[in-house]
Amino acid sequence: MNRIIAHLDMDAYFASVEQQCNPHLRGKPIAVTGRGNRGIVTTSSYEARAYGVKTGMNRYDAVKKCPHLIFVEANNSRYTDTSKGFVNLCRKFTPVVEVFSIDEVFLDLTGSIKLFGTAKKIISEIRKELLEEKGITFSAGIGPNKLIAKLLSDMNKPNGLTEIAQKDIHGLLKNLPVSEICGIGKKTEKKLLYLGIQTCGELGRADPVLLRRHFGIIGDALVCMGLGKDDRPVVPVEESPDPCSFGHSMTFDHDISSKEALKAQMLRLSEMVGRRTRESDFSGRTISLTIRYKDFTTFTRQTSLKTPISKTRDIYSAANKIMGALNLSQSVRLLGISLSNLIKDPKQLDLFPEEKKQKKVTSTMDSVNSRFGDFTLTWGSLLDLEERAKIISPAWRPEGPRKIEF
Amino acid sequence: MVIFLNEKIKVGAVFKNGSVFPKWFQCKNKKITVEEITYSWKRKNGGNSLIHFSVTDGANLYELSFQPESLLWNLEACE
Repeated sequence: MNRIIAHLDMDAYFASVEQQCNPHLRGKPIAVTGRGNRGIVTTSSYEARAYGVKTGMNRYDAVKKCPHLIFVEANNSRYTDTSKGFVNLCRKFTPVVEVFSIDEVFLDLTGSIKLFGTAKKIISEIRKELLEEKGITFSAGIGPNKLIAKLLSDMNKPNGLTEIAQKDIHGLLKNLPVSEICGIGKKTEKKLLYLGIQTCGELGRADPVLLRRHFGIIGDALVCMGLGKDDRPVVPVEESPDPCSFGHSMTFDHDISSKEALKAQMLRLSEMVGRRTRESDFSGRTISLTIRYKDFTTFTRQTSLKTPISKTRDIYSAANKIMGALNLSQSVRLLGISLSNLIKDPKQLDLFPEEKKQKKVTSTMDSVNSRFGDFTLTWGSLLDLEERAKIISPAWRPEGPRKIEF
Repeated sequence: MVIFLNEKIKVGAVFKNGSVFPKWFQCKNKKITVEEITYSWKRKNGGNSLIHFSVTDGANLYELSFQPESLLWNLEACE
């Protein structure tokens, strides 16, 4: 049976939400950034895009492109709540909704057609309701698989809808540059170009043996991409695989050169990582510390422990050991900690009184913070730290271990 | 420019079909009439749920928050 897959992608999401919130911003070039002067453009409105303002630009470059650009500080709770509402709205039409990112979903509509009519009709119902409730729009693609649906949703933006029948896929892909396909990044594109492959048509006709030799096991997948074949299922949040790691990072308002000051930030990150790990009933054996210097040189060091950990103190202590062994050659712009090599918490009983005591303290802190908000009960050394704006990670999901409240 | 206020305020609101709609609020002894609710969203702070409203009186933009548990209203910010 042919599948009917839709990909819905909100138009200039964060910027659209801000323009809805503030009527004075409507129709104007705006850029949503993080807190402070170091924030980069996370999204820009279509009015700003017309001037060449792009995601990832720093403020200086963005103003050079558009001198009257209006910067708006991101308000994450607006975006996460709107995203949750959007996912719930989609679930009215199908239970098979995969959250691809905060502003993108895949819907498997194969089983919904008998109930609601055509896929186009379903999309237009969702569009109508979202516009009425939130005033924002999305672009959609409807195709036989995720690869094609995603490709199509990009073709008619904003507020567009593109649908294709199986028989027309060959014609669509024939002369399409390989870089248009989701999953083919700049590096792969360059390597393909080296092999004389520029279009999806050429990729589909390429010798799988040759591609395997250059790309390893993804060689076969690349040929399928070129042919527009993709049998990956739409995976609802409740069926998504367990996370591979829990991590947090932060870019500081000013570069930090003192290790003592970095240690306080490490403790805060350890608490954020530990809280989420414990909440999801995981423990991990590998702790990674990522450091970005002021010149953007970035590196990660990691250590693996014999026993899995999840307590903040243990994560901090392991990260601190890594930090102690480092000779920082420059001041630090960004610090990140992650816990990987995860296992579901075995809930082993502690043998020693000190361990039991620490577990009790951690669990009491968690209970207080769950009731009254993160960092309500915290370490004295964190009290002087300014509250940081949290950045929405691309891995954010409205439910499960990847959910973070803002 | 956004000014963060975090002030407890009196609000006149309509509760309809399970939703709440602020109609006016008092700020520094002045009654401000809500002309349009431009956006609303929910946020959690620990175990507390908060509903935020972005509202305008036609000239300025205000952010109000409402705690359904305690029925308290806050004027969070104005622009």
